[in-house]
Amino acid sequence: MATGFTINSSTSNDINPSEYNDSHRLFLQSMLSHRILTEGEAQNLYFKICDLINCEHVEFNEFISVINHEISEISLSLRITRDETNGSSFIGLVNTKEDELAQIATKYTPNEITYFRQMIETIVMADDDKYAIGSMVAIRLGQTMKPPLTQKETQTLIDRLNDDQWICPTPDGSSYCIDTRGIMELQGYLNEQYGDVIKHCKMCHDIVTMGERCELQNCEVRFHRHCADGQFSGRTIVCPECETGWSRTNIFGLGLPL
Amino acid sequence: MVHNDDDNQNTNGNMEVDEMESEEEYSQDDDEEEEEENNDYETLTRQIAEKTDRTKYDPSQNKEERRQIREELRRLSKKMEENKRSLLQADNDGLNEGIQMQNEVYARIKNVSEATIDSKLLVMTADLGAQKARNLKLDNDLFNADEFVSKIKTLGGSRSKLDWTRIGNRAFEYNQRAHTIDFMLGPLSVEKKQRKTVRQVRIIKNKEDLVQPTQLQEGDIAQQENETSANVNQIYKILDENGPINYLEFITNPESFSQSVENMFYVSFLIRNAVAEIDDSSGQPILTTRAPPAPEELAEDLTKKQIIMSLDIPLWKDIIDTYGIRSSIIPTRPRRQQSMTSTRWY
Repeated sequence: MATGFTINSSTSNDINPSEYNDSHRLFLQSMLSHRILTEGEAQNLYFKICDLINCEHVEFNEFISVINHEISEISLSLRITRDETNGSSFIGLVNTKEDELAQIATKYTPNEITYFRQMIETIVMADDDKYAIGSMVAIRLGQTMKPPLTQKETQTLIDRLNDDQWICPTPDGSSYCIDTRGIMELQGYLNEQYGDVIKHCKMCHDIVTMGERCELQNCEVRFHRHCADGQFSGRTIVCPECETGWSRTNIFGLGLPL
Repeated sequence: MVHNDDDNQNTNGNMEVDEMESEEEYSQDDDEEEEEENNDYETLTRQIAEKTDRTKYDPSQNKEERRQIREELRRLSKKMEENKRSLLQADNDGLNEGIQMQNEVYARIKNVSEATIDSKLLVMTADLGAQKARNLKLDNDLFNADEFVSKIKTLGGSRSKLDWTRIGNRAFEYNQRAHTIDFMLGPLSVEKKQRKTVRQVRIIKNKEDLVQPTQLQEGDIAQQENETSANVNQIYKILDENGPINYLEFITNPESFSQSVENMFYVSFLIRNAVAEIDDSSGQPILTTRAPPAPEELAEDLTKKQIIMSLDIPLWKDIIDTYGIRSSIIPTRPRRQQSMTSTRWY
């Protein structure tokens, strides 16, 4: 991350937008601070930057890809995913490689990281495709650590994880599920660790932790709610694999708002 | 007339006057008594006045004097307020001088209202002292923390909820700290290798398989054969038929120790309800049935007596030998049937 920036750069006014310039640098600096933004906010940011730098606008996606090309060298990436609760687009800065440098790039202690790892395991392995961990279970999980965390420490840790947007509370307030940022960064990790149990959306093929499922108990077909909206508009609603009638109310994942 | 010193001495200036007369006064005449009483009263008050300690508290202190004290105290606090700024300088000894002057005034204070003013002044002095100490730490000339904080508050709108965005924007101009970002993908991978081996099978709970504790209905528990009251009645009948009989012969079952103990248990109910009695006046305990006692007998001194009988196996064998018991008078009760129907545990 050696890309510094200065506004009073020595470049002239005719800035080539397809080359990595100050606008990209400024955007990246902003993303370092925000970590994750809605696509709308990100685009506003982009317009502001363009005005500031005084360069012309390009297609937002093109802008992002220029940045990605540069930062891929240091195993970072700007990813665009959709929030599973409502389908809105988010863009976030994530790490793509689990190398030694990345291992120390965190302000959580190793014990806390272990806690988070177990929390993720509990969430992914939860019964009934809940993809959530109950608040009390989460607190008790802290006591199984070595050394054990007190209830207060556990709660503080959970709050910090929440503030950093790795987890978020479910709509009914009873449990925690993995937040958009968490899914965004940990896609690879989850696929690798839990590849056989974690499900993927039939439409977009991304990991799905809340959405709609097939009526048939054994059928593995899952959709994000926003993907299902696209799939099942108008036509007769059946499961694409087993052809059972599809009920749009057969949902899973506690994080999904009703 | 002798009055004891400790009767009169009131160190807190208590002005309550108890008229006390010694025994000698009763013998004097009425006229003289009245005069004597007045004299006594005067002497009394005089002595009380002399002995009262008015150094610390004196409600009868001169009003003018009190006014002067209050005036001086107020003057001192005003002075301290005005000179606050200079007093806080590290080299200024004004606080010390202020304390000295306060001490001098305090020596003259003899009432609560003045003392209150004095204590307020002392608190203010102490606060200034604390502030001075704080400033000393931060080298007051270069940077005054309190001033800085108050200026920040003004920038933020001086309301209870500050406008932090505005403050932040201003601070940003002087701040060149680089942003940091923390990731989760790297840290999580530590120890990833071991995780793969431990795997739980995820189960989807089937509603039907959920187990609930079985609800017991009343008729489910089969009535047990060894009902105590039935047995007690049975034994009463047997006793009635057999008439007065040796207690030990009656209860002992030569074939079963446990049955003997149970027999003893059931007989004790009979005794408790006073439908049977043991009479050992003859040297041997004789058990007979009897009618329950009438109320008159109870009133007339018929008391209840409690004895604890114990029986262990050697003793039981001994009884069988001594009395030559061959067969049991009380028939042996059959063992409780254990019918284990498949699902039920009761």
